[in-house]
Amino acid sequence: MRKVDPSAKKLEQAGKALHDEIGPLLSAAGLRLQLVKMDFPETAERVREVTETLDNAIDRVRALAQELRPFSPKHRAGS
Amino acid sequence: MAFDVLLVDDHKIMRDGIKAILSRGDEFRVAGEAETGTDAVQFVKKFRPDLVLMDIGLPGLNGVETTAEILRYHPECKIVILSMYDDENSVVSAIRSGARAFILKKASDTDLLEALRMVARGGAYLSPQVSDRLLTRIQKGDLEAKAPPSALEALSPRELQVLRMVAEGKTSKEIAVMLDLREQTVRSYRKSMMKKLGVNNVAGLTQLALSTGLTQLPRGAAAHEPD
Repeated sequence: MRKVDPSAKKLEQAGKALHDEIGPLLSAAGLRLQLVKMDFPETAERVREVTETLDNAIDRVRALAQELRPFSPKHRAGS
Repeated sequence: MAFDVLLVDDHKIMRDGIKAILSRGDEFRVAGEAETGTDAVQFVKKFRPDLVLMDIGLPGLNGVETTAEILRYHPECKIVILSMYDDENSVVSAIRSGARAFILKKASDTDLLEALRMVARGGAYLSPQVSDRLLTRIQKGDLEAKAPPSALEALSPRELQVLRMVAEGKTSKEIAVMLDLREQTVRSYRKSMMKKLGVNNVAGLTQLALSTGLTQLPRGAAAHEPD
């Protein structure tokens, strides 16, 4: 039976949490910002700026998650 | 009259956000919500919504597989796939499975509503970021249609679906629940795949699925022989 390195397992768990939990939370925050823009059109420019920052965070989370758990089947399916 | 939409995402916070955006207008009505692909298929069979807005990365039956399942029962249903990422594999798989639109979760409310409107009218939609990337790749000539790996050409789409799940360690019972089939039917698929592929056991099927790239083994997991 193959021995699993505990630190590798922890890194994989961290990658899974980033991908399955943090990523969706950032996306949900983006949706909420869209609602602010819909309700208060005068905030559109500010919302755009914050959305850009969020998009950068999503991209960074994705890259890190991929680095930590590159072989996950779920990861391959986008999400 | 508003179009009935089924929202499918395993994160309630995402469903709530989308629901709030759709509720600002009167073009779309959220007819139901589902957390899993299996629940989504059951809902569609029963209520036949006009549109399904679905996350691609669902646990269990993923968004691509769920799309194919839904269209088996309700071919007129228009499916919009939501994805956090715009990788080519996800986009192409979603479109091949029959989805009419692929939009990023970071799309603006305007893009989301535009995609739903377009699809509801019988059209198709890709997030601008996705279509720009695909266009660039097509122009460069490095986007080629990927045929299924030759060893698996003899398998039907349903068999490929079952093979991927077998290789991921799912039992016949689990696959039967996910695909809404009888356990015996799943066993028959497995037998017929073994015959077509010339292997004698599940380990052989798993090895073939891995070697052809149909699926990948999670790090630390070992191939085993589910029932």
